[in-house]
Amino acid sequence: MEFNELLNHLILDYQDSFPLDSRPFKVIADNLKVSENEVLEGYQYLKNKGILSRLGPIFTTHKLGFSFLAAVKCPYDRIDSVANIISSFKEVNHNYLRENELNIWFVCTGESREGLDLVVSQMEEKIQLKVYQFPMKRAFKIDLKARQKIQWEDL
Amino acid sequence: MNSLVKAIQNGISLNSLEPFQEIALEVGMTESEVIAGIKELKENNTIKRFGPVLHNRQIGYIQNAMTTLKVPVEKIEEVGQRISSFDFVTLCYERDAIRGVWDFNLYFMIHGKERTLVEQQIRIVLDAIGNDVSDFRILFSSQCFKQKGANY
Repeated sequence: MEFNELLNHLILDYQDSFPLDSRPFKVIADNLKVSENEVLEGYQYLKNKGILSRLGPIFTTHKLGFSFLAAVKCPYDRIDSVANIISSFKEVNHNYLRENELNIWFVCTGESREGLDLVVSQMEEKIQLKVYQFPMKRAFKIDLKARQKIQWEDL
Repeated sequence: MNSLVKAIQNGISLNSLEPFQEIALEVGMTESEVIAGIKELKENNTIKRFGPVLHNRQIGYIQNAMTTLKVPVEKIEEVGQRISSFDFVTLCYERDAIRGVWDFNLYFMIHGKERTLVEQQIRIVLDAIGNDVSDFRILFSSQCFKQKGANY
């Protein structure tokens, strides 16, 4: 099997069904008819390339704690410093600049509502801006799976 | 918080052929307890899925558009379901609006490679739900400052 084809299998075939087995890479190797080391090296390659974030869980966040989307209206000359302060909190897992007056949008996740309240008040003090919170009320769809083969030549 | 959750949240080791054994040593459980524990977290839906998680931006999905909609409360269920039925919509949430600041209560996300294509997809969704939406904003991301898994 070509290496790029192997990589696509490693990414696309095991998103829901990564083997929970003592030797997971061997289970995959047997499925794909390659060696166990080739599978491990494939995942290591994806990790080193920055394509693979992790082999691990995506949690249903409301089952484990609390999370909310938040945004600030940041003056343009302070964007970098404010964004860096926001990102420095370990509770912040996503942080984006978006095209709006409310321009820095981020997600806070933690074990408790109280813990995150404290994070928000510390953050507001540091950035001197109001943090608007948009907690989720209902999820209609959460689909964060890769769907297409990667076009390796485009990377 | 469950020590197993903390031990697996950043992923299993890629330097071992027996990665669950490494987790077991870290948390003081047996390997089979770790594997059974992860299966249980999957079964009770605490773990939505367990497997390769990618950095979208590294594989060309650099366009990420968040569209926020103002929808009458009694229409949210129906509109949310209709939006979710589009294959290219990755996320759809109802959220609290903040009156006078951000008067939008339904959000959907589309991730794509090209902005024009994502704009066309948003247009398709808006055409399908247009009568139930009194106002909307489309916010493309212009920079990613941070993207990682949740940290417990």
